Amino acid sequence: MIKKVGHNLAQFCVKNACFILPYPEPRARARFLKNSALFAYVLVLLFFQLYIYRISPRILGFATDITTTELYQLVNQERSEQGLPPLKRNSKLEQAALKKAQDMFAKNYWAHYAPDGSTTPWQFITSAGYTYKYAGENLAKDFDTSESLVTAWMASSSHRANIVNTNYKDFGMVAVNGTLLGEETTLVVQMLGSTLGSTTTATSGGTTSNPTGGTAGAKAPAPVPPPAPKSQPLAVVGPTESGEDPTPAPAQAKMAPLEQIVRAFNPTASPKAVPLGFGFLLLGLFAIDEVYMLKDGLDHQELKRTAENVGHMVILGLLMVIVWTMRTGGII
Amino acid sequence: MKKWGWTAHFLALAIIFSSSLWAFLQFRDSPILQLYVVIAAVVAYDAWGLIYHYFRRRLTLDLVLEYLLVGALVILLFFWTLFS
Repeated sequence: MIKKVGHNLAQFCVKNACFILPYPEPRARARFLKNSALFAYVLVLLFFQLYIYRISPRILGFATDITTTELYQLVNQERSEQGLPPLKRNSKLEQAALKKAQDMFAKNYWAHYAPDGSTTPWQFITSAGYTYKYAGENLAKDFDTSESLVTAWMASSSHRANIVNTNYKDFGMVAVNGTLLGEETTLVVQMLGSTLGSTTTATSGGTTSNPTGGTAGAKAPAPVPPPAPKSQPLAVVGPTESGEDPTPAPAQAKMAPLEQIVRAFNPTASPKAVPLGFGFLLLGLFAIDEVYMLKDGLDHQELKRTAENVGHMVILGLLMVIVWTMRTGGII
Repeated sequence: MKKWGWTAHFLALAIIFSSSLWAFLQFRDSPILQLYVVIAAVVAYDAWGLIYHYFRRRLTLDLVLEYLLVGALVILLFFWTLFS
């Protein structure tokens, strides 16, 4: 019985090996590499892309999978891991974040402070009716997923300091699509704050200021970059805004190499998963084809085919390199 | 094909790929320009393949199709990264 099953299994493997090996005809392509198979891959990819484009009208040219619900969960998850109480979702801060995002699109800038020099993040908060004692702002753009965005914020000491700051009790976030600096962009604005009436414990976080006092109208100490507007009572400001470089290089999350690879190949976490996975599969099939020819010595006919294999492998390798190095977003 | 011819062909291929990678990295902040670079690289690669096999006297319809299909796959996979 076992012998029969083993025999059948061996036969099955031999029979189906021709899908990945140039078998039984040594000079033929494996079935998965024949033109008909390549044509099928093209059709499948085309179909999925058109389908995705059709069912996802919210997706812009350079799309993201960011949802504010996920962002709220992930930020509070980071806080709970630090033993901090969760922040409360605040509609006024959400409104302020939305106004800030709209202002960046309208005035075409990517910074905590508008280029006119007079528009500050705190104006959006106060105009939304939120009377703050402490306030902060984190910005991000062009991230693929909520997870990658929060990971990048947590990898930046100043943004992390805002997220795990014990002075904050409330937060509001929005993800808004639009055209910024000539490119389709998804902006994420996070406003954090606590009201004058709320009690706070000791401040944590590296670059945020730790104001003393706590009554409206008290003179604020000069916050660490950038300085808070003097007209505001107390403010903990956005983290790294310097006003010098409106489009800084994207901050990369500090992850272990293996974690980066696993993440990149995870289709739910990254849009790079399908290109990398499929590219890797095709690259492997061409490599097997090449190895198979080399194994038994190349005949004249096979020798001519090696150029195709090498060329195809190199262009697929190039594709994988450029997909891997594609930017995933920026934070300020 | 003489050895110098083979070397010249593969040198051309190396130049196509390395310049494409360089251009791609230069346009880090512009996905649209990166897309143009990928399309240009694929067109150059297909042209290289056709010229290479023409000189080797082995330019068949199957081969032309193979290069076109591999090029189309590369572009579609790059599209996937941008638009999915």
